[in-house]
This record gives sequence, structure tokens and C-alpha cells, in this order.
Amino acid sequence: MLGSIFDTTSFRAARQGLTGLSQRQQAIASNIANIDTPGYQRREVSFEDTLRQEVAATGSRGGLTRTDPRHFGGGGTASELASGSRSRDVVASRNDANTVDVDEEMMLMVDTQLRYQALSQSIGTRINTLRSVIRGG
Amino acid sequence: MSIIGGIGAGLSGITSGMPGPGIETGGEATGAGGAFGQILQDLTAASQTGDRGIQDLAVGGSADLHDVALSMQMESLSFDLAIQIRNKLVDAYQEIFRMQV
Amino acid sequence: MGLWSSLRISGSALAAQRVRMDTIANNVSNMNTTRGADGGPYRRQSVLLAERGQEVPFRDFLGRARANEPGSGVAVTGIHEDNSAPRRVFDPAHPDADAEGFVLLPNIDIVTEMTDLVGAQRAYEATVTVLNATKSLAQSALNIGRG
Repeated sequence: MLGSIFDTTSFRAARQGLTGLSQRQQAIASNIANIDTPGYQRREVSFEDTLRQEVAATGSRGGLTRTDPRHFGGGGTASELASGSRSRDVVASRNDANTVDVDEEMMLMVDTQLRYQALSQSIGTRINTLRSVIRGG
Repeated sequence: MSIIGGIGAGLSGITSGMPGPGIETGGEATGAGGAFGQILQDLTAASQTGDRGIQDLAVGGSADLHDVALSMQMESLSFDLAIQIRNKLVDAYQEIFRMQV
Repeated sequence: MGLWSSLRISGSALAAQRVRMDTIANNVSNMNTTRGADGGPYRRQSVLLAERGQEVPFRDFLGRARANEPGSGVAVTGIHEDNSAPRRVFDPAHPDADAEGFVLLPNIDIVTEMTDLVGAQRAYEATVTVLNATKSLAQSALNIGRG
């Protein structure tokens, strides 16, 4: 199926990154909600690796291949594909076998929030730029 | 959807009669008309996606907000693009009409 | 999915911690109740928490549908009554003293209850923080392409 001319790698990466980040927020919400639930295992959402691969695979169409050493790298700066959640295998250090650490969750939440804001703002700026280009031409 | 239908019907009337860079035969769309037809198709698809987003939000569905926001922006950009191209095509058509033969 | 579910999950957490705080308040106000509902001294109550969706077996088909959901919240599955032996205090003047002058009092220790209360309050506040973050994410999404 032909995508529209606006359906670029960046657009799709942004959409999938935002989805992954919002699912991560859901996992954090679940972890904090169950902070006192006996035996609860911390949940986490991982999507960065899958998305990084997908972005690299479409490198010739504007992905993150570096053709010049001064270009931005793809490591960790792009958000990635959502790939579901899993419980982490950690050893519980609390006597109720609960693996949630509130400080860790809060740090992760700050990180998630910043990335979500940055990503939504970036793609929003891109959209506004396209709009100016289209209308001003 | 009726908006698109109206614009599409009117515009395809204009574009199908226009000669493109290639040779135009019968109902085949080539050149400017063909490219514009593709834009209209993308526009229809974008608008349908926008519809789904709006309706899902209205009925209390679980569509992601960023998905709906992006779909609406895509739809808006597609409309902008289609209208700009339409204007250029109409200008070109009228210019051709004004040519003294 | 995503932000909508996050709101529901945080909502369930607020409700559960609220029940927990009410239960603690009940324990504290009944610290010296010698005549509880069943005639004996009041029994200490505590909430039983479980991850939502895990507590009722027949909801399994729903659980499988939500297999890819990163969490579904918390629920209070019941109020547990402490059945350990009540405290025996020597107080012959008490109206409920037995033949030997001992009164049976609830097995409630104020320090334990206060510690538990602090835990519940902290969990409640942490959930409010998460809720505010979720709201800000939603706001960012709504602002895409605006202005």
C-alpha cells in the first residue's frame, strides 16, 4: 500500500515512539499502584531495540544511517517500536517479595515524561514546518 | 467524506481534461492529472483515518491521544497540499485559456 | 491502552490506598474496644491487596485478552481480621474484666498502625505524582501541531 508523501520514517518512528512511551507510563502506573502488593513483580516496557532496528533498516529513506561523522548517531536518541511488556527477573530485596523500588520508578517516569514531551514537540514542529512550506509556496 | 467527494468530483472534471507532459488517451490519467489523483487518494485515506480517530474518542474508545492528534494533522496537511495543487492547476488552466492563438 | 489505562490504574491505586487508610483509622479508633461485633474484643483489620485482574479466576479470559497490557492496577481483595490471641491486661475495675480481673483488649499497637499509615500516605502521594505525569503526557499529545 502506498503511503502518503507525509509518511516518512521520522513520522512513523515518532508515532511508534510515543506509543511505546505511553505504554511505559502505564507500566510505571501499575508498578506504583502495586507498591504494597505482596509478591508483585515489577513490569517494564521495552521498545527501543525493536524500533532502532526498524529505523536502521530504512536508512536509505531518511533513517539514521550516518554518512558523515558529524551526523547524529542512532544510539539511544531515537525512540523505538512498542513490543509489549514483561516482568523483570530481579531478586526482591523486600520481605514481601515485591520488586518495586519507588525511586527507580520515579526516575524512569521523569525520563519518560521528558522524552514524550520532546518527541511530541519535535514532530509537532515538523508538522508546522510542512504546513508553512505547503501554504507559503 | 462528502467534502472529499465534492472536491474530488469537481477537480477530476478539471484535471482529466488537461493535457499532461505525456500523451493522454481516453480515461487514463497521466501527467498532472494522474499525480493529482494520487494526492486525492492519499487525502481520502488520511481523512478516513481522521474519521476513525474522532469517532473512537467520541465513543470512549482507547485510541492513543498522540495517534489521533497525528492523524488529524496528517489529514490537515493533506488537505492543504491538495488545495494548493488544485489552485496551481486551476491557475495554469486559466493561463492556457488566456493564450492568444 | 497507554494513557487511558494509566489513568484507570492510578485511580484504582488511590481507591485501594484510601480503603487502607480507612481501615487503619478504624483500628486506631477501636484500640480499646472490648466489645466488638461478635461480643469479643475488636480484631485488628488489614487490607488484602492484589494486582487487578489477578484476583478472580473466572476473569481469566479477560486476562488473556489483556496479556499484552503492561499492568492493570490494584484492587482490595478483602479485609483480613487478625485472629491472634487478644492482649490480656490486668484491670479488675474494668466492666468487662473476667473472674480473675483480666480484660481482653484488641491486639493493636499504635506504632504499627502509624507506620502503616505513613506507608499508605506515601503510596497515595506517589500515585498522585504519577497521575499528574500522565496528565502532562496527554497535554503534550494534544498540543501536537498546535501553534
